[in-house]
Amino acid sequence: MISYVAGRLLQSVPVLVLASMAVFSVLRLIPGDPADIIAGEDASPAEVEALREQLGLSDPIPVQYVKWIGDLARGDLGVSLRTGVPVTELLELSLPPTLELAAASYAIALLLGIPLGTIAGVKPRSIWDWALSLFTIATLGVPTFLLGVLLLWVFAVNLGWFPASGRVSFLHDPIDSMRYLALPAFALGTGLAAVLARYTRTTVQAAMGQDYIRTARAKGLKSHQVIIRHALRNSLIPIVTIVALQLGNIMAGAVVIERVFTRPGLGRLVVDAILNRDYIIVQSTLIILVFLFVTVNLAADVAYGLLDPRVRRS
Amino acid sequence: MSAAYPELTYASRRERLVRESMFWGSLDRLLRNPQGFVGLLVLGLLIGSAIFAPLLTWHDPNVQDASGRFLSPRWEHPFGTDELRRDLYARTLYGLRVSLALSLTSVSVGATLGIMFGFFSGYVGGWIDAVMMRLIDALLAFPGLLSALAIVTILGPSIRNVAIAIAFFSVPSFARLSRAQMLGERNKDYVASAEALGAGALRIVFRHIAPNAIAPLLTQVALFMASAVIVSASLSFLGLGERAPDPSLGGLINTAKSNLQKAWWYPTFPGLALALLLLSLNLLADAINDAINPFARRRA
Repeated sequence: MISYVAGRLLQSVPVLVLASMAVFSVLRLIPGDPADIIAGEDASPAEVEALREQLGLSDPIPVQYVKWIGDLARGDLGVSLRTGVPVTELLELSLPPTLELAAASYAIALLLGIPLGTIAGVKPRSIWDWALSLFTIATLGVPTFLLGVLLLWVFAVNLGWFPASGRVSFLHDPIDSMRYLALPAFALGTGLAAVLARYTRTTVQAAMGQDYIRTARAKGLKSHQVIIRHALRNSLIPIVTIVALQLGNIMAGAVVIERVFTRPGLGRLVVDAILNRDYIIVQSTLIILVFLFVTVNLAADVAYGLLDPRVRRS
Repeated sequence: MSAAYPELTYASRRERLVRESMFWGSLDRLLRNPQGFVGLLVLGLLIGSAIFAPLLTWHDPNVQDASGRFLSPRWEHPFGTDELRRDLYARTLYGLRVSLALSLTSVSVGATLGIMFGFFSGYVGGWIDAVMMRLIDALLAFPGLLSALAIVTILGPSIRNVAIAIAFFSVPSFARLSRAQMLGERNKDYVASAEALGAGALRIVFRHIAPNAIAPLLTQVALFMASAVIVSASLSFLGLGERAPDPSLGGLINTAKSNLQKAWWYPTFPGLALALLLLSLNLLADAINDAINPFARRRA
């Protein structure tokens, strides 16, 4: 198991290095001189020069990259070009609401997708199977932000069951926090729920025809025990894969959904930074997200090893 | 002695084409499939109304010429009017036009580049292939919308830059898939015989391998057009797409959001147009997949 984990760890190094180079190049790929653009049109040559020094843009590119990686390793993400506030402080404020939203969306996706997929897989061609097809088609046609606007319209504006905007910290008041989270998390989680349900349905249906299921039934296990302990177990690997792979989509979706429900978070931080040309914020947020993404995929690989001994040995 | 094999006979020229040509056969299966027929019909109608938008509307989408703000749908304004006395029917149709043109151009550019990259990588093989694929892996570490955000940061928010961003993020997936196709075809006998006859690498790749490898990539094109529509609409919704006053489906839904109590028609019609476009593309992708692999089962 240890050598398996070490091997996977080693494999993610080149991906991290290449991805960090890609993020690093964001600031350097801006057409023209970044210092000129960041300083604005009415900056004096001396101000531009000072900014170039501050950003380290006069060093050779490889030196800049190594310095940047060194800063990152020490937890220094730079400062906002507009306000001078350290990016770490901005992220401390913006990351928790977004992670909260992502976690709630995953919870809704799992609670909705796995039961629906399991029932549809155990009873193909039943009303549940048909409902799953309809649900899938609906999620393909309605993008996240449109579903968000629809939910906002019906449940917040018209019925007034949920607040239309804002956020309460989960640690501060869990119950109230969930009222604020319900609609955005539902908007973000349903698409993922449909994907999870389809995979669960396929694996459960395939497992139901296997000999070991017949054996389990012959042993006299109750129907729900057979399904949950034996059939559903086979779905765990695709489910873990999807949960890990979809993290990027969930985080990107959160950026958009936060806008729909006027929630504070990474979305507001990044979009405002793009509009204000505050490149350092965008760069640092991207590298944090890439790091998160690579780590979660690594964790998923390790989870396969735990779930399925065959993966460890191959 | 009579021929060992009877001559194949067809009832008509059409039947001969459908049976013997891969293209016409697939098209025939596509149209016989209800999903494919509906998808193609709806997409055709949407493309038609986007192309002929100037003929189908009687108001300029950007001119504030209606008799009032937030007029409900009526004969003069089938989709109602907006907060600035503009015709929402014209704005929706022109917004659809932007979405379609954007996804069509960006995905064709991204797919072409990706396929070239993948074919080259798969055909050449060896360490070049290994290096190129690690690069693709690193690019795939960025989800579509996030890389689009990064590119819009570099180039500045505008519709053209959104198109560049979408083209860019479709490259790695097409490269992956076309490389896999290339690896599957590379060692087949017909390639060896073309090589033995002295055909050059370009001729082998484009005249011999490409026609056999291209089919699964078509499904991918339809799916990526759908995701291009989503990404461009999301970016417009965030205010990072087109500049005011030009309409886009995402931008219309964004303004509608602030006026939900005043005008039910404002989010409804642009939302419907967006949903129909996405549904038809997804139905078409499924149907193309079925038509090309008639024996394969439907997607899980």
